Amino acid sequence: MTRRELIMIAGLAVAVFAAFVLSLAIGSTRIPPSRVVEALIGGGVSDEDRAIVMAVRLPRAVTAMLAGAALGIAGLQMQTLFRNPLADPFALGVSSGASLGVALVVLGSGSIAGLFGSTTGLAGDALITAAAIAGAGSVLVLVLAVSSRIGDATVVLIFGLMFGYAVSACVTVLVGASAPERLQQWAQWGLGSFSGVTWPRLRLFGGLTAFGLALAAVTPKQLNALLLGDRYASSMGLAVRRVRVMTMAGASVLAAVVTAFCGPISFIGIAVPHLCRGLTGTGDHRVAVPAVVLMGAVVALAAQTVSVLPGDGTVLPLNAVTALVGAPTVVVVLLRRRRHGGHV
Amino acid sequence: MTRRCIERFDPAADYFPEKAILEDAAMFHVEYRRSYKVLTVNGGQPADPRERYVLVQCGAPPPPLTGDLAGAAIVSVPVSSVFAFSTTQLPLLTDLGRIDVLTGVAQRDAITDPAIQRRVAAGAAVEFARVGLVVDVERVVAAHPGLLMIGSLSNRAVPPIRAAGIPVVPNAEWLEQTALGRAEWLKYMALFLNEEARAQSIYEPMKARYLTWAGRIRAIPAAQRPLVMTGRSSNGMFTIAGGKSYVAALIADAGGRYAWNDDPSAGIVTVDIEAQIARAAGADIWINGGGWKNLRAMLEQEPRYAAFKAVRDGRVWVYERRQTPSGANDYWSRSVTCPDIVLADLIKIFHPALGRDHAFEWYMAVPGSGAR
Amino acid sequence: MIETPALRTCDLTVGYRARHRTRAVLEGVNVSVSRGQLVCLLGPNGIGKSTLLRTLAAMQPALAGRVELDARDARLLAPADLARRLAVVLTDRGAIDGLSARRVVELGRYPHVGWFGVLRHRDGIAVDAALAAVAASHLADQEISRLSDGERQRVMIARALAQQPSVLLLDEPTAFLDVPSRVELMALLRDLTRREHVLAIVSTHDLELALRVADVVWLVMPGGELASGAPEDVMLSGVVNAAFEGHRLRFHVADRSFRLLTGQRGDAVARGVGVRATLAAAVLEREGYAVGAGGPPLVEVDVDDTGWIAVAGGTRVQGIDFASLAHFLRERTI
Repeated sequence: MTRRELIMIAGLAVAVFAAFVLSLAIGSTRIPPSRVVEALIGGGVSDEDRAIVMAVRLPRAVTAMLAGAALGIAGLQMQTLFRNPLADPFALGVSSGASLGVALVVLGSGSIAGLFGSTTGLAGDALITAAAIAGAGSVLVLVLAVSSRIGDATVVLIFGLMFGYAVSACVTVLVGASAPERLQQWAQWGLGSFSGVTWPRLRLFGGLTAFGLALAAVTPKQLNALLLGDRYASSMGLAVRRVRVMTMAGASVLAAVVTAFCGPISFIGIAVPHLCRGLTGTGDHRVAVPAVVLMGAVVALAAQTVSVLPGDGTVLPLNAVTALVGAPTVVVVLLRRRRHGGHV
Repeated sequence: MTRRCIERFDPAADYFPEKAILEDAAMFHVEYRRSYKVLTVNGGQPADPRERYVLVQCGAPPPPLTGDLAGAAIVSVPVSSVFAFSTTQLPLLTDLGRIDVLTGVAQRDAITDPAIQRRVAAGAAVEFARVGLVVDVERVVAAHPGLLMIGSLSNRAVPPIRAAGIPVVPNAEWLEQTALGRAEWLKYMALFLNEEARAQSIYEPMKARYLTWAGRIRAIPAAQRPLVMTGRSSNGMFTIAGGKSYVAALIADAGGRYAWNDDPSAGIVTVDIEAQIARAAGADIWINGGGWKNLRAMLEQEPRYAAFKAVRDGRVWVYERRQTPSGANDYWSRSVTCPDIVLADLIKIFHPALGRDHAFEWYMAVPGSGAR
Repeated sequence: MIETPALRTCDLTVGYRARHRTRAVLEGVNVSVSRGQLVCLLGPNGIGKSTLLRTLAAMQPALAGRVELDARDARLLAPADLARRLAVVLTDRGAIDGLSARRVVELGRYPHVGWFGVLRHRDGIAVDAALAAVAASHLADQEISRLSDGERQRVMIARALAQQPSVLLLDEPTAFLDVPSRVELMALLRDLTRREHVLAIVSTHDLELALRVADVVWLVMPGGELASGAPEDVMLSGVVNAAFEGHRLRFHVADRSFRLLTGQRGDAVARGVGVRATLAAAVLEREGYAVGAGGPPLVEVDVDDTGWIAVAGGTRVQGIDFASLAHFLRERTI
């Protein structure tokens, strides 16, 4: 790694730490930093403060880091796989599949939720997560089946987009037929949130995302080879179809897991790889993978912190924050590279 | 006279001897002018503009729509057929004994009143918004009722129905800031049926009962009033009653202190769970959540509920005592016109000694374990 | 000792297999070439050069026969083994714009490094050597998107060299280059074959350049055959004429180049000293006269360092530069 790259990665690591600390200190209620520290180390603070710091803010910060890293890596893998700077983790219709699963339990007749123990017909969080994973998984299986038969990556991408549209259409039909109380819960899921993952669920979430991240971490060689194109890659001995399927599955699992636990979160997956490329100056995956993991975590933590700035219970929708803050940043980065004679 | 149309119009006669006097409702206002009533009402959503209606006694000539009547819509009273959109509007008709005018309901599955269910089954009342509460405009226009009462006038079905000559009026009772104000909407419905006397005969004793109950509480000092929280959480966001809502007013009247008293909203508010913990972790009682089999299921679904004292003490109360297994709950219909019973239930929860002689109508405690 | 041929084909037939039909493009190809040689694959467009190249590179299955690399059947080699013997340079651009030239060349070490892609000392040496072999060491740390087309091609060749193959296959490497760069690239390839002791097979449209630099020429004929041999033998055998000539074009073996067909207007002679006479003859030919054909000339041109004098049909005209000579010839009606 060049000196510049090492410095950038070290800088990102510091930024992650700072963002993590900030997200513990800032929330919708005001708790002085000294009390936050006390709560963390198990000192004597009120029960409310301890509950807020340990049961609300801490798992939320960890969730944000994992989700940001996962989405960033999934976006990087998709952009490399399809050699397309506009690809995002949900290009294969995974997010639409998750939405369909959630829509079926939240918006479908109350009897589905009632089967799982709810008495008012409102679906619980665990049920929603399971449904999202099931929905995303179904779409993923379909897309992978298509991909193993078709060699052309662009065609697979188009298939994924079409699946996504078709599934979204089903969701729209469900939305149109739904009662207002249910729509409120549905709309809230759609806003995206890191607050829904409590400690017990964090175990599962953390395990799944760690698995997906590890997969990306051990394949920078293959991902680099894919940059040359399928023909060059196979001429060097890469099993192109197998690697493509594996990478697609890895990226989609990461995207599906994050969507299932946190709702659909836009922008991070598509923007973080570009930000990293601008910062480190290279697309080499040996540098990009660690950089994207760190940058994804920073962006997610920053978005989370900004979303609770209004205070006293009011929370800005996460998706709005990620886009509003992130989009101008990406534009700035791209313009700077253009000016210095670079490329996208 | 109130039920029949006028045969020979006398401009000097007062055709409305029984007039409604509004004591608690703030969202609508009526003025009587011999042969017609001028009704001003809020649109149904906080942002909707106020609407004005001229309720003309059938057979009388409508007044010129000038001056303060400019832009008003004309409704001929008494109406003989009513399409009601919300189930909360149905008890207004039931209490007035006038379900004979009900010719349309939104969804038959949401109805808990057996008399109305029979009416629908017999075909005397039709369903007009069966799928997803989307109004079937054609069905409404084909039936041509004398009145469509809907929750909010911003519903997309309203303009075409009005264009077809059917009067559409809003019902904003849920925005009233007191439970009594909400219940007084009985008189709103009565205006269209010329049943003001009947409405008053129901409202007055109910209000007296309400005030008697509230009177028991007045003397209790703040220190002995329990801190109360409301709502349920999903994905880390708590949906609660606003500080100026009728729920907050009921809590105060029942001798409780609402944790979000200073919130300015009159409806429902969504807050971050952190804020709820900060304000209500020490709340003694939790009301108006729901959907939980028992306390253990509550904690499994959302472990952070353990931060609330009310959960640890097992003092979580929901209005699901009369909920049927299919999910229909007559709390939604009857509680609107019977706030005195709701108040009694709440007093029994907050101050059990004072509520000794009352049996719970709708509220029950969420059990510690096992099914309900 | 006879060296094992780096590449050998046995009755190789290449083509396409569609759903119900099989279409053979080249049949019964039997060639054998050793390391240290530059082979140029030539032929008119669409005749099957790319198909042959793809089959040799194992990117496409042969219809019949086999390809042997270092005496091993290519079909029996594991992909990594194959990659250590054969490397390609294609016209694909890929998405490598974010990489430095060195990193692109490092990609060529793929078949030699372990699962994690960690580069060791000998990999670094191979990369440096590859860059030096194409004279691109000074470009190593620059972003590949900033290099000129010629420099970029050199880096792609270095990437292939980093695989340390015995055979290099290049598909139209000079396609996007300007003329000086083309010549330089072909010269580089010839030097590489000597210095690195690799076999390079280059498909190209640059017929005249190829005939000058190649050690072996493979010419694909319209009938689906492959003519192979040293360029001079191939030219002499007349197959170049058979493959390329049209009714406007002729291959001139002595010049090793193509000439436009001439002579419709009649015969002419050009006299003078040195190169000017040759150039005058070229102008005459361009204007449609056959020079030195032997018949009675309609035009006679004498040229020296002051200018030219032309005698035709009784008239005598003179001028200074060849443009005026051409103008004069064009204005004439015979």
